[in-house]
Amino acid sequence: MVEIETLKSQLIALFQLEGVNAADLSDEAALFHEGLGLDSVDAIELTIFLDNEYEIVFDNMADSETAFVSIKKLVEYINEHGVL
Amino acid sequence: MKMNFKVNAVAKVYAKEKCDNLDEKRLVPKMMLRRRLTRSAKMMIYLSNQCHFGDGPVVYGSAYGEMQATADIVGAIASDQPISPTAFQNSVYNTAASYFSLLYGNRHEILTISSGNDTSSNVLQTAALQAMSMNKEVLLVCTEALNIPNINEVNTCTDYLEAGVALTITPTDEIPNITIEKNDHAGFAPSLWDMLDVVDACEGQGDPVIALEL
Repeated sequence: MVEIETLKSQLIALFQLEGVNAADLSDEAALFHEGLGLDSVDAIELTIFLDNEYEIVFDNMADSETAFVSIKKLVEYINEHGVL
Repeated sequence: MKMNFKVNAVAKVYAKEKCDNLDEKRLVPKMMLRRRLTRSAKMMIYLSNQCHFGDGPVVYGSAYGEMQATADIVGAIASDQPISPTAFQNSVYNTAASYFSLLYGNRHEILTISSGNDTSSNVLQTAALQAMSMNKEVLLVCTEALNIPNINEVNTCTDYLEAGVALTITPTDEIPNITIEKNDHAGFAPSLWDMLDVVDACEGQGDPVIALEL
């Protein structure tokens, strides 16, 4: 099982969120726009990361939209669908 | 034909491995932009700031381009991994100049030149033409960021793996008061040498005026 704090640290490293600590990020923080402020390039970067790290490949847009809502939703999706 | 140009500002930065203090936190306060900057982009932003230039036409040069992003892409292909979109975005030759424009909202013309060891010579010539045709101050920047993993397996002649040089020029009718001599700048990538000649000659001078070949 992936802990939410682990995922936060992975996201900080992946997106080079300089000066941001895992403790600063709310579990409910949105990944895009407000929240972490990620953009469309980051969405592709995140998709590649999930494939490499957890062997998650999205079959449809609806799944990715659900998983990408917040950090909490993403960790739930990883724990349900990922290879851990 | 030669024309005369006032050199308003000059700057250079270099390090054997990595330029430590490029002041990026102050110069690029938005972390979401800063996190994507390449080494060349950071050098360019630093150098343009040293030249007090944020808005106007730019001529940018690099012989080797964005080496780290290119290496990342080649590495991903070699290990059958997907290519990072950030590496793809950052791999083009005008990456540094584009981030500079994004940062300052600069909508003026930008030209990017890559012509091997003649890069900074061609940047000088192109910028001279730009300055003459627009009758404006032009920023000239050349950078090389060669410090990628294992570079020393192939590098035998460049000591300064990160180096950049910049100046701003405006056309003038004044008589040149500085003579530019061609020098060997041992340890620097030869693509920077012609601009280093100009910067070294003008550094510390009062109101340098030079002649440039069009």
